[in-house]
Amino acid sequence: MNAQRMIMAAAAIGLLTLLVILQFLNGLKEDNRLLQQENIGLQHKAVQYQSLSRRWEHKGASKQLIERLKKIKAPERVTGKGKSVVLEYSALSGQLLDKLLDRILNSNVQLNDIRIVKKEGLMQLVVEMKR
Amino acid sequence: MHPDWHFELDRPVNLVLSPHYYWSKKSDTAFGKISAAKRVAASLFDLDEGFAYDVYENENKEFIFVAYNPQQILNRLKEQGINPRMVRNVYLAQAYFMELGQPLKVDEETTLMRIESIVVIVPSRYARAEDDIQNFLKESSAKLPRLPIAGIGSFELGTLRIPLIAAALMVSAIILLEIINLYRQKSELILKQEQIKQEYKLPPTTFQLKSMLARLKKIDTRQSFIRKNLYRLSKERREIAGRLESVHCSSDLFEADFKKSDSALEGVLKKAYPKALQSRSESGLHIEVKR
Repeated sequence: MNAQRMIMAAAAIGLLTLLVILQFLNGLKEDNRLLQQENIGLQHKAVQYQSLSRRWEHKGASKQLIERLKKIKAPERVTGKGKSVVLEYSALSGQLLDKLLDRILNSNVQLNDIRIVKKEGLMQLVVEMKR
Repeated sequence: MHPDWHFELDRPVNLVLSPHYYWSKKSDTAFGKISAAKRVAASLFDLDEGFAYDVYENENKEFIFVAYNPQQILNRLKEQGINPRMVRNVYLAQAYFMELGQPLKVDEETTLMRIESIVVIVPSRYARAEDDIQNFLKESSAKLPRLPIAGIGSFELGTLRIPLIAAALMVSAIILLEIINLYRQKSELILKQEQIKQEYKLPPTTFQLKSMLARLKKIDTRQSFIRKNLYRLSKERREIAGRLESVHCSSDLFEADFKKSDSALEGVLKKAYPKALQSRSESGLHIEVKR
């Protein structure tokens, strides 16, 4: 085999090796790109998870709400119902109802059911929320 | 080649070197490998600096040592107007024409032949040749030893070796650095992923995270439904004052009853609850919003 052929063969082998290595490098780059994308997605989900979790899985939110409601008007009855708590008010004026509702809606408790019924000109309020 | 001859080559050629340009010695010492014989080649000749040495093995397993002056050969080629790059390989005349038996036709006017162990070129009229030198050269050159001379041949392995090795080393170094860099990036990204999981106290698997997130989103949607509908009602309180009879709001359904329905009340409620179903009865108005 003369020098020219040897060089051509070496160049061909070198080129093939280089192609394989470049392919490998591309694979690594693609892995990193996907990992980066995954991290961005994870960060986004984590922020969402943290925000929702803080809002709706706040421990003692129902107790805190009852304490706050007591400052406006103490509920007439507080009963446990499985994993829920039921607050009952009767004979509320429109203004008081508004204040109580505002406090309830601005809290972090998970509300199951709210009933407002007018009776003899005054309002009754029943709130069922998660404990 | 006569010193006055001048050549202009348009294609690469093989050069058969006359014994005038080299010395040769035969040795039947058992050197083993050619590389071992090459190491002692210089000591067999008593020559000045500037000489190069080569060894090849003949058919009888004897080592033939050759001493030649590459610069002298290159100078001679230049004097003849031959570009050394146009010379593909350099062969030794002794080896090349060792097997020459019958005269060979060089061209129409000349013939190459052996006369008393000396190879000469004679005019064709003195010797009749049947075989062509071209065929002889093609058949012989493949197995004959070649003299390595730097600067001869379009591709000279010797001269290209260092730049090729340097280039290969450089490319290898660049690739190696790139691989190290990519692996470093990868480990940093994996570390960052772990940091995010720790910082936000995420569950260990993505599946668990997806499931928990879906549950929280469901809670958020339901709670938003309750709050949004009750807020709207509070907002319109002034308009509906005294006419609200009852409200029931769960995570899937919002219902409200009003007494004494009229178009003004319907308009207000239509604006507050565009998607609500309104049903008028004798006692008043009932609205219903489903999630």
